[in-house]
Amino acid sequence: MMRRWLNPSYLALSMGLVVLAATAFLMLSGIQRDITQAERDFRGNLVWFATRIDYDRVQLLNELNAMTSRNPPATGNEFARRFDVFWSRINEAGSGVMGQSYMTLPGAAQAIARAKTLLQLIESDAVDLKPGDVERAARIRPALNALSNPLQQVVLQSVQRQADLAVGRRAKLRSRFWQAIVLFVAAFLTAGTLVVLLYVEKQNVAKLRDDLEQRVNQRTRELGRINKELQSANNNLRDFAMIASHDLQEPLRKIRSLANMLSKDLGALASDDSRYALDVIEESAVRLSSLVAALLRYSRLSNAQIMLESVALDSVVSQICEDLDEQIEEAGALVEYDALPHIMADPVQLRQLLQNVLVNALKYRQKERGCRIRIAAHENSAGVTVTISDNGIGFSEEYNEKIFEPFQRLHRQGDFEGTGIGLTLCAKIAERHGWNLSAEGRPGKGARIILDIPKENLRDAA
Amino acid sequence: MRSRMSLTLGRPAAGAWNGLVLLARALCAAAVLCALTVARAPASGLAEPRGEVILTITGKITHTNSRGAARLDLAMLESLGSERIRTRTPWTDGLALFEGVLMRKVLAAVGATGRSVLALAINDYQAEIPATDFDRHRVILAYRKNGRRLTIRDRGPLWIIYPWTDKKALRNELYYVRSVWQLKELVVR
Repeated sequence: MMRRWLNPSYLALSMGLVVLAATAFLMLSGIQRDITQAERDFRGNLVWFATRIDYDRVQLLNELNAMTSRNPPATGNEFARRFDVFWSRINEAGSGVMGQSYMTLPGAAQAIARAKTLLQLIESDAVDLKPGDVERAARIRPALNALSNPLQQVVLQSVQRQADLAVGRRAKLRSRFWQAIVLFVAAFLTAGTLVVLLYVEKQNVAKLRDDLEQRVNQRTRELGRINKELQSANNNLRDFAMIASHDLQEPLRKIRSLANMLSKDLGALASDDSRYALDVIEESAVRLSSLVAALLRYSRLSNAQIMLESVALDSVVSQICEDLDEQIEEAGALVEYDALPHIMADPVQLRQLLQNVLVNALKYRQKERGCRIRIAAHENSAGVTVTISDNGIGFSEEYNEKIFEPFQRLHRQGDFEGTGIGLTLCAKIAERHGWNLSAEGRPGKGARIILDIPKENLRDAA
Repeated sequence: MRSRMSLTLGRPAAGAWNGLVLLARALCAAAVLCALTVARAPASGLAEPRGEVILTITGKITHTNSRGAARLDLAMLESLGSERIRTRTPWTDGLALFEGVLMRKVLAAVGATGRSVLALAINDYQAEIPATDFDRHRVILAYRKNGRRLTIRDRGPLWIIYPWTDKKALRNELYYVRSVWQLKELVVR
C-alpha cells in the first residue's frame, strides 16, 4: 500500500490536485477582491466628482455673464439657484465615500478651503445680485475665476489617480491571466495523470484476470488429470479385487477338497492332533472362501450400475420376510411394519440392504427372549427416515460408525457366524443412492439402523 | 458635459432581466391604472399651486394644471402623504432620516402612463429611472432630512432617495446614479 502511494504517478496526481485547488482558491478570492475594488473605484470615480465641482463653477459663471448681458433674465432667481448649487458642492465636498476620496487628492483640501472662503466673501453680493448689476458682478467674477486653476488641478490629479488605478487593474488582470494558465496546466497535468493511472490500472486488471484464468485452467487440467488417475486406480483396484477373489476361490477349493480327501484316507489312522489340524484347515478354507465371496459381492456392487425406479418399501419388506420365513420362525421373531412410502431406488440393491439389516437383527438377537423387529418410516422436512429397530444384543456406542467398516466383527467368530461384510455392503448401497445410513446401539438394549432418504429420492405413491 | 447616467454599468443578464422588467412593467401599469381611477375622482384637473413651485412634471401625464405640465408646490406634495426612510447614502455621513412622498403616489397623482421617468436637476444632471423602480422599491421624493427642509445648499429642494440600508440589492451604481438631488423636473416617457 505504501509503495502504491509512493508511485510517481500518484505523487504527480496529488501535486496536481494541490496546485489546482490552491490556484482555484487564489483566483476566486482574487476575483472577489477585484469585484469589491471595482465597486469602490466606481463609487470613488473622482474624475466625475472633481469635474462636477468645476462644472458647477463654470455654470455659475455663465449665469453671472447672462445677468450682465444686454438681454438679462427677468429675475435673479436662476443665478441664486446656481449659486446655491455651487455652494452645496463646495460645502459637501468632503462628505460621503466619494467626498472622502476626493479630499485625499493632492491640492483638493486647499482648493476646497479656498473656495469656501471665497464663497463666504461673495455670498452677500450673490444673494443681492439683480439683473444688470455690473458692480456686484465685477466683485463676484474674480473670485470664481480665481477658483478655476486650483479646481482644474484637482481634476487633473483625479485623472492621474484613475490612470494609476487602471494600471494597477491591468497588472492584476495579468496576474489573473497567469493564474489561469497555471490552473489550466495543473488541470491538464492532473487529468493526464489520471488517464495514465487509469490506463495502467486497467492493464494491471487485465493482466491479473489473464493470470487468474490461466491458473484456473491449469488447475482444472490438473484436477482432470488427477481425477482420471484416481478413476483408473479405482478401476484397477476393483478389477484386482474381482480377479483376486475369483482366482483365490480356485486354490481354496483345492485346499478344501484335498483336506477332505486326506481326512477320509487317513480315517482311523489319523491321530487326534492330525484330525484336529485337518478340521481346522477345512474350516479355515470354508471361512476364507466365504470371505472371498463377500469381497467379490462388495466389488461387484461397486461396479454395478444403479437402475432407479419407484419402489414400494412395504412390498420389498414383505418379500424379504417371505424369503427369510424359516429364519424368522427359527428365531421366533416378530417383524412389524407400518405403511411405508414409495422411494426411487434400485430394487435389487434396496432389497439387499434391507435384507442384510433384517438378517443382522435376527442373528444378533437375545436368545433368552423373543425377537422383535420393527420397521417404521416418518417424513420430515429433509425427506424420509426409515428406522429398523430390534431388541437384540445391541452394541456399544463407540461402534456406531465402526460397524459399517468391512470385516468388522464385534463378537467372537464362534458366537455368531458371518463375514462382517453385510453392513459394509449396506453402507455402500446407501452411499451410491445418495442416502445416509447410520446406526445406534446400546449393549443389551437392541440396535437401530437409520436410513435417511433425501426428498429428491422420493416418489409420491400416487 | 456628459451626464452621470452615461457612467451606468452594464445591466444584469439580459434574458432574466427582460422577463423581470416585463413583469414589473405589467404590475406598474396596473398600479398606475388603479391610481388613475382614484386620482380622477376629486376633479378633472390638478389644483393650482399656491406656494413656490418646486417640481414640474411633463410628458405622458393626464392630469395637468398648466400647459401640458403639472406644477407642484411643497403643500401639494405633502398632501399626498408622507413616507420616511432611514438610510445611509454614499454622499452623506452616517444614518439620515429622509422624509418625503412616495414616487408612485406622485406619478399616480398626475396620471402618469409612461414606462420611465427622466429626472432633471438644477445642476443640469439628469438620469433616467424605469417606472418599475417605484413599484418594486419604496422610492421617495425627499423634501426633509433629519427633520429639516432640504434647500438647494443641502441638495434640495427634492432628492430621490432609495431605501439603501433596508435593501442590499439597491446598494450599487445602478441605483446610485438614479438618486438625483436638487431635482427640479420629471419627464414621464
